[in-house]
Amino acid sequence: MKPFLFIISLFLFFSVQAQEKNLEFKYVQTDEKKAIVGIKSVMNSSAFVLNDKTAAENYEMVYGIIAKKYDYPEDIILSATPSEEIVIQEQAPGLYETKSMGFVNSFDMSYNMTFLIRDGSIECVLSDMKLGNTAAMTENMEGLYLHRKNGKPKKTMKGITDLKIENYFNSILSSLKSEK
Amino acid sequence: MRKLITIIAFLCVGLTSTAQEGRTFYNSGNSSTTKKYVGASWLQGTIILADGSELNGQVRGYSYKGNDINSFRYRLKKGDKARTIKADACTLISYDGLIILSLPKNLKKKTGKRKFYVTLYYGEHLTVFQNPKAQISEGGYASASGNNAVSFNEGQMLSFLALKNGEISKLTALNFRKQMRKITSDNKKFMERTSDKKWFKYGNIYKIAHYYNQTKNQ
Repeated sequence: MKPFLFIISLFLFFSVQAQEKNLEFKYVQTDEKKAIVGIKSVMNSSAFVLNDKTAAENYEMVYGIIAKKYDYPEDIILSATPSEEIVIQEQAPGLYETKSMGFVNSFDMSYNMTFLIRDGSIECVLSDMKLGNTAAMTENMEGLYLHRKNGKPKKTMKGITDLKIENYFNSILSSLKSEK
Repeated sequence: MRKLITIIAFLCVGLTSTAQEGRTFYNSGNSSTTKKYVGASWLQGTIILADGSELNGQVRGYSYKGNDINSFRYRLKKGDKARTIKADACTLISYDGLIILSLPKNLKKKTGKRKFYVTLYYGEHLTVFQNPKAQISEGGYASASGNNAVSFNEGQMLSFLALKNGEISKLTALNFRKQMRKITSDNKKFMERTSDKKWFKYGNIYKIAHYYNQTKNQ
């Protein structure tokens, strides 16, 4: 009886942990409705990259990718703890894009990303997404209103704004997956 | 039975440990050198009290002297009774993307009455904060037609204060490079980059302070 209980407990523990793991960033519609702006969609705040590397190797890999992209990686790194985590604050020019009457409007976005590094996985946690111009990121971006209040998708945003943001963050995951 | 309790305890520890987070205050990334103001709307914020304890809840600016903030109000949630927090009672406030420090009113003395200072950049080794007495650039020049046709750096604060090792130094737009080099000469890697004049300039003060902090122990 006791070994059986132990196995059930372990199974429950690992299944709860596994359910939380997203392998990509994706916007999902919520129940939150607001007058005029419509129905809110939010993106999962964390996604995992699974591999067979040790925590130290994963740390080197993340740091290496940042160092490849920037001459001075310290410019975007907020904090770094070897073999544990790297927090970056990055700006993505023109990432927030909408199309209306044939015209494209785009705004810069800034975000914090925490790479939580463990043996066999890197968890990418997204936070503090802000909208604005490059110097002054002021508007918090808690979600996108991709649908009207009646549930119809907004032509100016659905499939444009969400897709561009998803692709941007998923490309970070892809670069981590493809790095050897 | 004892083993079963141990297993349940193990499960509880495993599940809760993933939810725990350390508290770190990160800057907003707003690197603009224009003056930043504390608002009066209730927003989620954190107050670090003088004894080191932390208050998490709704915060807003409360009393102002001109544009400078004199005190904050704190409440756990809407409907709760709010309490007033003055500069003497706390060390740091995180509110609306701003980090506000409580420092001596007379910056030449380390003791005495305290007041709030809004930081431009908050760092482990070097912090840059707004100088309440700073002049603000009005920009513009009179063109031949008499109109202010062109403006440069409008709204920019013309001086900031730097806090390093408990000492406060003034950084002015006019003499920025010389003053900054003087207080950062203990960081060799940083000093190497100061030869890049496109980067090492007053308008880039936020990023310069960040690079100093990041490279201080390298």
